[in-house]
Amino acid sequence: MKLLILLLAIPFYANADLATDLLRASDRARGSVKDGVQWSAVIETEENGDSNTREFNIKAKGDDAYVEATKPAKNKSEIYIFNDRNMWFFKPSLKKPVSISARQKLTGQAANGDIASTHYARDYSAVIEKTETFNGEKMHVLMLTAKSKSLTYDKIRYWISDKTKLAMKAEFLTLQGKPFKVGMLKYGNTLTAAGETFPFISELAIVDAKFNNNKSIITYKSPKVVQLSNTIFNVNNLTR
Amino acid sequence: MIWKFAYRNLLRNKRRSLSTGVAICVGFVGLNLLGAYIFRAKMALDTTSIYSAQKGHVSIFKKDSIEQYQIKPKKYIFNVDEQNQIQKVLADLGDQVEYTGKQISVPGLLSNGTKSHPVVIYGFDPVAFKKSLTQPALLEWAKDWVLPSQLEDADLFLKNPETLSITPKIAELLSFNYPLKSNEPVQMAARTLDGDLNAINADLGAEHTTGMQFLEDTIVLIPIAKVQELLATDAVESISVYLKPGVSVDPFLNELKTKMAQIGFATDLYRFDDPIINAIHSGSMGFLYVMGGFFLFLICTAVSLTIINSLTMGIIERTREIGTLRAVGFKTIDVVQLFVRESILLSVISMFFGVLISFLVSSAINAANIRFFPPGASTMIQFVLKWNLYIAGFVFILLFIIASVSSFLVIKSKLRTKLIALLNDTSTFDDESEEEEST
Repeated sequence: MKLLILLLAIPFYANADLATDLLRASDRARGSVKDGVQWSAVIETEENGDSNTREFNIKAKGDDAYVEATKPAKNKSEIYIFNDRNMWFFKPSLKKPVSISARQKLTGQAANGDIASTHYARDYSAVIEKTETFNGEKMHVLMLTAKSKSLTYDKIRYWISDKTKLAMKAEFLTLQGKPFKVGMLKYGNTLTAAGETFPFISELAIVDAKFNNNKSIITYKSPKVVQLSNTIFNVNNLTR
Repeated sequence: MIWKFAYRNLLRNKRRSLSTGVAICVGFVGLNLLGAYIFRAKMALDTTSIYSAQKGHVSIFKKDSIEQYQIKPKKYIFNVDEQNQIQKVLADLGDQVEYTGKQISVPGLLSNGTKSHPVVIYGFDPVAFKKSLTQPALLEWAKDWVLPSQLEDADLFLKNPETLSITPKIAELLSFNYPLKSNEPVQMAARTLDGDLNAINADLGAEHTTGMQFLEDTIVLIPIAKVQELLATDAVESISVYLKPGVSVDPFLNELKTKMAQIGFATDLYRFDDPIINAIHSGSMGFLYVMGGFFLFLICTAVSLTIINSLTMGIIERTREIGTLRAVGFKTIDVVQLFVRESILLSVISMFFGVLISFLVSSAINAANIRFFPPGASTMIQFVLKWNLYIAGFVFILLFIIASVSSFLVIKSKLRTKLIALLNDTSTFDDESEEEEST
């Protein structure tokens, strides 16, 4: 009996391991690099007939990220800090930073967490739902379930290429499992870390699942590995 | 003379008259006290809605703002030009308007520097707030919904427009220390009308209560200028109109609607107790009215049956007397009047005592300072019975009519019996026997 249970459990654990490995590999191309990495992001939003553009400089290292708004002028110097799974908002006129939620809308379809949440392997439990062909490529379709309530999304259905180990599509799901946003990812950038050059995300297009005209396109520019001091991620340093 | 007869007849069977009188008196006292409770509840809800919740007697919103403001705030606010147009209309009605106040609200976050709590930030006009807080009506009817610290300094928000007021529950959730007058810096964050995240500083300096348990962890108050700064706008969500004492709300509302229809943009106007903007008021009063109506029906039925029962027994015993009265020349109407007046006399005497008893009971209950938690309330309030002469008068008239009609119907049916049957005392209330008599 024990042997039978063991035999039945092996495929499950093997499946979960594979899913986590795929997720870890895909995270690297989205900024989850142990050394410091920085890039700039432009978010172009179209929503209910209005459009706007916002730009950010992002510095990420390990579990932390520092995001500074650069455009438009009214938002310049606004700072978002990600400490592990906590997120903070600060601007020079504030006496103290404000703890905010990664789920809150940043602009258009993009949530605060979308701009620098890169650790899906750490934050979500993954299982492979199925394997299918998408854009002529064999894909593993993963179901990601949030390990914590503070994460940007409760559930994500995630398409990872079998060949490149890059995430190509994401359906962001409600708790009931219905998609409310769909993200398409492109990898036109490259990054070199620890002597290895690998593809890096260049675009994440997030479209409202119901109203296709409402969308935000995050364009990632000039990614590079840099040495970053831990002090820039310390929220207490913002007010000093 | 008939009154004298009626009075004497009441004394002939003192025990029955007493028991009937007690039933009427108890019914009267019960209805009076119930009315006093409902009256107090209505006045408290009215004044808290108008002054504490700052809805004014009439609230002016952009058309469809109630449904759409949270979704498309930019479209459903009054810009400065529109505010000026409304103020001009209100100035024309200056003989009825005491003051006005502007409001704007937004869902956001309140942060103590280490953690944030989701709140609804409610921006109010500090001048109107001060006037509202010092209204005699508010202090008379709804003192339990105003914290003592609020009354200490009504100028607080005028002296420091950065002052934020929070509820005791929010203070507990965010670990703020009492007293809250430390002017400790706090931060509020919200999305601007353009959709950008914004945050501002405020000084923690006051506390308030919403009166409702489910709102106690939600509502924070701050002068409107700060909320406008947070939302990066000079617009307002609504304008509240406070009327002078003695001005009737409905005629004013109709006049204002007519005038507002002539300005260049559509508006929605609401009375302070309109279910659309004040579901708590209409829900609470609806419940109390249904409950009151149910008790009114029960008590009136009980009083009516008591009178019918007592009179019926009296008539059975006095059948021969009725026959004699008619034999010596009393007309049917005179006999009816005699019995009806007996009932009226008994009712009036009973209700006179009822007035005294209900006044004494309500005074005693108020003096006892009994406190309780109304359903959903955030704080204990005093159980107050506002004895009111109008309510007593209404109940008096109601029971008077019931007593008169009940006795009239009972005696009228008896007087259909033939005189000879009355004198022989062979009649009953059985229709068949009446028919036999008539044949």
